Amino acid sequence: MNAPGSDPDATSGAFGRPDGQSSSDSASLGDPPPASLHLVPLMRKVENTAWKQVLRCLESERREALCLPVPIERWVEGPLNLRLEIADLSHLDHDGHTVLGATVVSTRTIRISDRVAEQENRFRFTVAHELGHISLHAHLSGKFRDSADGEFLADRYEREADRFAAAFLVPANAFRQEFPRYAASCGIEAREMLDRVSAEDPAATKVLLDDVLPRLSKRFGVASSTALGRLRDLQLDGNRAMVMHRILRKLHARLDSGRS
Amino acid sequence: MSKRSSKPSPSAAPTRPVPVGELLRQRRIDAMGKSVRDVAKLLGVAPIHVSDIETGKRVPSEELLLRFASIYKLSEATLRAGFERPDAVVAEIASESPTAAEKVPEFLRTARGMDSNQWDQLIAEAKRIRSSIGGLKP
Repeated sequence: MNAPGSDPDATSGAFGRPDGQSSSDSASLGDPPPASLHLVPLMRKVENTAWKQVLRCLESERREALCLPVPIERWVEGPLNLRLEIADLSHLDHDGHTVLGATVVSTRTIRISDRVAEQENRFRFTVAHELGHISLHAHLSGKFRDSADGEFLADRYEREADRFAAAFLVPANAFRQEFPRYAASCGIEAREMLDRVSAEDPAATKVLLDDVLPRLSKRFGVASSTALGRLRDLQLDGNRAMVMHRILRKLHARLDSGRS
Repeated sequence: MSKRSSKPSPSAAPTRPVPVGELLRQRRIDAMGKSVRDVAKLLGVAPIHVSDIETGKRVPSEELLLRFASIYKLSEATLRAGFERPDAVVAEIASESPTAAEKVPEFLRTARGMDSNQWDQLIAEAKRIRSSIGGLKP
């Protein structure tokens, strides 16, 4: 199956542009992102919303513990009571962007492009991304696109939906538990791995990219780049957040180019 | 057979039965606990095909209808009625001879709307007529 676009997590839909993560990251590589600093409280809200939805599903199924990978399709159609359809969305493609998902808030319907139906991680992320729009942006559906800074807001909403998707599929507490476990199983203690990756130690970086991330990817049912994103977003290495930010961007670029 | 849409029209009476696609969807989620992609694998079709059937954009082929019946544990008759896809034998009998081509539709139009009991009576009557002629193969 040929997959247009380079980012496995890129989605788009009724809420506008596809995720700009890969393009904007490479454009501003190395720039400290001042914008993201004031987004931190916002992103905390996104994290909380995602976790609330996870809890809602767990409670509805009377489960105590999180099952991994998160059963997103079952949850979306069951506890979250949404319609999930697989459809031909090629008519929504625009300006060279491939639309992988769309949401119709009024009918509580998420439509996913049949082009990603066979791509496990990408399919799951796209569903979670659309769920993000419904959970975060349903109340302002259609409004922002007409405003003067619609483009800026649309970009923000896409980023929030991406962050929601990552937080829903890779819940923070589960990741904080699993990352050290997988790092240890690869022979490096988590803190040491982060220290060495921060210092751009090639051996530790290789273990992270080649061993730890693929295992986390499988465990959570997300792309390696999404797992890597969680490492950055959750600031597991709080003291050197900015250093990690810069290095993880580089690693993202390596993951992207390695995938081709 | 032409493709038909079973989309419920907004003016449809509230008593209208659940569209068969919706019935399949509910069965898949509530009774089977499976995703569209799961059942597509079981049915041996693309996921979009299952989604299209659930949303009334497509009608399953004869073969797929039978697979739905067995995998979803629904009666073949329910699905045939829902998709307005009669058993192949109806077309076969109706086109057997010029007489059949003329009489079968007339017969079916006359019998339309009968309940199960009335159909049983009709079938009994047909059997009686046939046995009185004798020699007609079933």
